[in-house]
Amino acid sequence: MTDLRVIQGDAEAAFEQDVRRHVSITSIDKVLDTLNNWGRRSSIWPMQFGLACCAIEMICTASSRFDIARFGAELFRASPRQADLMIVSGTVTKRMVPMIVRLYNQMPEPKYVISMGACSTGGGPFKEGYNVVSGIDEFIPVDVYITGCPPTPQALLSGLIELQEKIDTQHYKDARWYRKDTTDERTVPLLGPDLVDPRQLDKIKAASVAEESETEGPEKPTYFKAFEVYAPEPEEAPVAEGEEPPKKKVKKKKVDPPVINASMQTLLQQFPALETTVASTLLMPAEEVHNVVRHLKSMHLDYLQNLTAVDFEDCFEVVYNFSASVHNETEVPPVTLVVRTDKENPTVPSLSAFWPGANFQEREVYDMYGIHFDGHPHLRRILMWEGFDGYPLRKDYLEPYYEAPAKIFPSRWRDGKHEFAESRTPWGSNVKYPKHWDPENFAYNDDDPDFASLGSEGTLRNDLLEVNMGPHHPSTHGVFRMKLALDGERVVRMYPMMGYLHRNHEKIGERNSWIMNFPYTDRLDYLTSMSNNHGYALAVEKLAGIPVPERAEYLRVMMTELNRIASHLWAQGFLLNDLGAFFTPMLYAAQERELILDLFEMVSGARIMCNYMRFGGVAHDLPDEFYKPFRHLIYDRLPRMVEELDQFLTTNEIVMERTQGLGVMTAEEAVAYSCSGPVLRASGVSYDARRNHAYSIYDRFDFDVVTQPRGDVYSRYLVRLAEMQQSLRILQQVDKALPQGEIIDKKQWNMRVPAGQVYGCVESPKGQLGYYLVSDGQSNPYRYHVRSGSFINLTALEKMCQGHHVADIVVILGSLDIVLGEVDR
Amino acid sequence: MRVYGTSLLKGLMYTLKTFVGTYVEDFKGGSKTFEDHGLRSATEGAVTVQYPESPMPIGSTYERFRVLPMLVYDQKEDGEKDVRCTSCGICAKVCPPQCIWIVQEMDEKNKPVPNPEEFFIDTSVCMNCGLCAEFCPFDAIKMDHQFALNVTENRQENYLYDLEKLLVPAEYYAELHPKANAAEEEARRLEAEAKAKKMAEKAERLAAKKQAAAEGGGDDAAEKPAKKATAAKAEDPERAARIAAAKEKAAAAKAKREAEKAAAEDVKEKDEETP
Repeated sequence: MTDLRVIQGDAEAAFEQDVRRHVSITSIDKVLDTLNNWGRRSSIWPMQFGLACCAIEMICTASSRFDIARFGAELFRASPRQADLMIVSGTVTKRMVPMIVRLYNQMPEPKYVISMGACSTGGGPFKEGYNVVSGIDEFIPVDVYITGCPPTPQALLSGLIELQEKIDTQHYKDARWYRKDTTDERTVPLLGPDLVDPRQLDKIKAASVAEESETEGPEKPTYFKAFEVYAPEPEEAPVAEGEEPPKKKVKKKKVDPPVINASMQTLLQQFPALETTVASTLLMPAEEVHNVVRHLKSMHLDYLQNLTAVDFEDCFEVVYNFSASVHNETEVPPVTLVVRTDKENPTVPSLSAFWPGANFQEREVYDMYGIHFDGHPHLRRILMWEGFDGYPLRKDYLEPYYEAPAKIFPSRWRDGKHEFAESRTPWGSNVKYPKHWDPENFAYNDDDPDFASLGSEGTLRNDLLEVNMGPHHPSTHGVFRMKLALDGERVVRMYPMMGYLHRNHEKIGERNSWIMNFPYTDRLDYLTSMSNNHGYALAVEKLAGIPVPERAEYLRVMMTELNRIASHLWAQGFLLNDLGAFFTPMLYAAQERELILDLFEMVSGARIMCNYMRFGGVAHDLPDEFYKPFRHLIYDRLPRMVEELDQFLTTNEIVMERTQGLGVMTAEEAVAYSCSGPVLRASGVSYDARRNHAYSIYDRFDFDVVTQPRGDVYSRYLVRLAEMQQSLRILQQVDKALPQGEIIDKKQWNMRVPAGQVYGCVESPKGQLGYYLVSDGQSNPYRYHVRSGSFINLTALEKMCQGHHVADIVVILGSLDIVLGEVDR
Repeated sequence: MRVYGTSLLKGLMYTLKTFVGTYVEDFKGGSKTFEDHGLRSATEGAVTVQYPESPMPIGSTYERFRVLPMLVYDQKEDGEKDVRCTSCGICAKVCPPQCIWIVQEMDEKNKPVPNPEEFFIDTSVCMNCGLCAEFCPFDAIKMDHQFALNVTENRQENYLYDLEKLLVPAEYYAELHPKANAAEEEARRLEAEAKAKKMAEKAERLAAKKQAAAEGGGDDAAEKPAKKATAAKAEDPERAARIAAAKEKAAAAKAKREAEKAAAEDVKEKDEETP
């Protein structure tokens, strides 16, 4: 580190050092060392390996502006066999860590590891999560740590220089890899009810036997609010003439009558069994669910926006948000339906027969809450692995690092003696095991039992080839895994597996205070932090009734639209990558994206984790220097750039040949699968939250909702291209109409939100990004759910892939433009 | 008939054009590095950041750039560090991953003193979000620009920043954040002025009251405080600033007490929630 400053500041010192390094040779060993180390340090080949947000910065380091090739490290290899450097970039989850250790073991010596970012260094902001490893150095040796969340490309370069300096100090004589007697094989951790470190097996065994008399210290109990949403509603008022009844309801606060919109009215008339709750939802009896849901289609409420569950004291509640895919919110208002089930044996009917888009969402609810869905075709865990102990989003589930039911943790202030969370568990890491768990009689089985028979259903064929793509694969856009059943090269069945980046966003979010969730939302879809901020701010503002000043609204639109362009540029670049145009179009796209990131950095202070919006406004006003580059971008440079993309790619014969007619979704299918964003619009459905739900001030701008009729990969490409142009159109209007004035309603760091539930959504570049929030009136959300476009779009992946070649699967996945931070959350 | 390969040629031409264009740009405006133009998008073509020789400029344009938090102190005349932090704890309470730990200083009577005794930031947990700096009422915690934070060993100890590691002089902060610092100084000055004015008015009122009570008796007694106040204002700005600082500290203590009270209530409420 000091050496960098030497280079920067003091030329003499640098020269001296150079001389020492390269000139003053006294022995043959030194000659050999110098040559050897010079060779190594100048051709470090990193492995193409990214885990989370930091990977984006790593890719930026490798692309045009930062150009890691200046250090001889541009050759990112997809295979560990060909790489010397592993850059562990991002959050290491328990599910992913076995793969990382395996990859490390398979790298030939000499090998180096850079731990990039706070997460892989020490757990980072997600440290407290139940699926996060607190530092990769628990399992593999790390040469250079770079903290920062995320470290900027320059920080990564400085880490690389640090590593080069470390290499300079090597002596070939005592290098481990030239000796026969030592190996650097690391034990691969196992997945049991939690992550099992084989080195601790004896300790675990001992603990499982010895734990008989244990009375673990007084763990702070988690809060468990009886959030009573059930409404006996208007009757209460007329009862007043009576004698005793009002007295009984002494504790009851005055409840506002629920808001009943036209759709709810119709449903209430149609189904007398439905009830309204005070939180303006419709409560369905379980046996009515199918009838009600079937009726929704005839009311044009054909789009299942969101499906999730809430853990209340007395019941589990499964929540469905429906809206119309063709009409906007004022014509056909959306409804929120809920169904309740008891806590002992929670079961609700599955919707996946009517709405295949419910498939993954129901699996997620099953995974997180243990609620069974009757009639679900494939009810297995989706984010955690099969065999994991516990249902993490239940309120009584406590993580190993559990500290207090809600932030602010009392241990931090007034007498905040620092303590590492690792010291809180007997294992020194983020794990816990069920009582009396015996590792010897435990068989790990994450393999899908159905998969062996994939594709062979109803046929006699059994020569199908099973192929695994991911979670470490250059074309899966992150740690995503696909199991394929192949007939030759043709895909018969495809089974997406995810959760390798499941970093417990929702669990952490429910402990955070309201404002604390802003920087966490940045890390959902780490390419579009502005949109994520916007969605969250909108949802909370809706619930708490916070006004937003005019200028702030404009700034929000400005930032989200810039973000849309940045994200689409990235998507287009990587789609071409997936088509085999390796990195050339990508570099041009990344180059322009950097300019947008510059604007973000100028305004908010960070390139990709902007954390820019607040409840009731935005954090900072535009600096004076902002306008010039901004106008240059939106009037001149970006329109030209988009034009160029269009000119070079749209009519390119390879692009056309390979993408037309590939991965087709019809309009009906796309709606049924709850697809959203460019994927849905490329199938000809003109559904855009900016129009259909008319949030913020989008009704003031003149822009088209771009659609394409064919529903293939090419259409998705065209939609994204045209959306960039539309975003530029909006930006130009914003620039002309940007008013002066306040940028935030009232700045507050701790606030309470009135009890209730809300679903707020925005059109993020990846699709509809929704936040389902339940507040119990406290300073933390009681339920915090993120409906992510990427996750739900993946539901349709199997449908799109069937019958296509493996090489095309990569392209189809690229056209969905998923980001794993949002898929796994 | 379709001629294959034209797109390929088109693409190659484009690459060539950009390649040549970059040199043309260089020729026109001299060799461009990022340092040469403050605005990073002012030129056409690609400009490569020559890190570490010439890193990306930050300057006042990008002064909001944030990496880790730092604690600002003012240098007293006697060389002692006057830490701006009053250990009110707002930063620790707004910190999303809860990576800030503060031990408040206590005097002999076990009463809290507005000063941090210990201050820890676990930088391997910190998410660089900047909320602490945003909500600090005393301009005490600010975001640093230093991003080259590599360590090669002992990451737990090395990445746990204590007071010693976090403290930076006010001049350093002013250099990194010229605009923000100027605005804050202006705000502080205005506040101090308003306060001084208020004090003067108060003194005047007091004097007038006294005068009314004494009924013409103490003429100079009434004039003295008012004069003193105006004199103080008219005197050299340094002294005024010092007075302002003292007052600010007093106000800080008060605000801190209030914050404390609020926090105590908060905690109490939290306690009540949990059975």
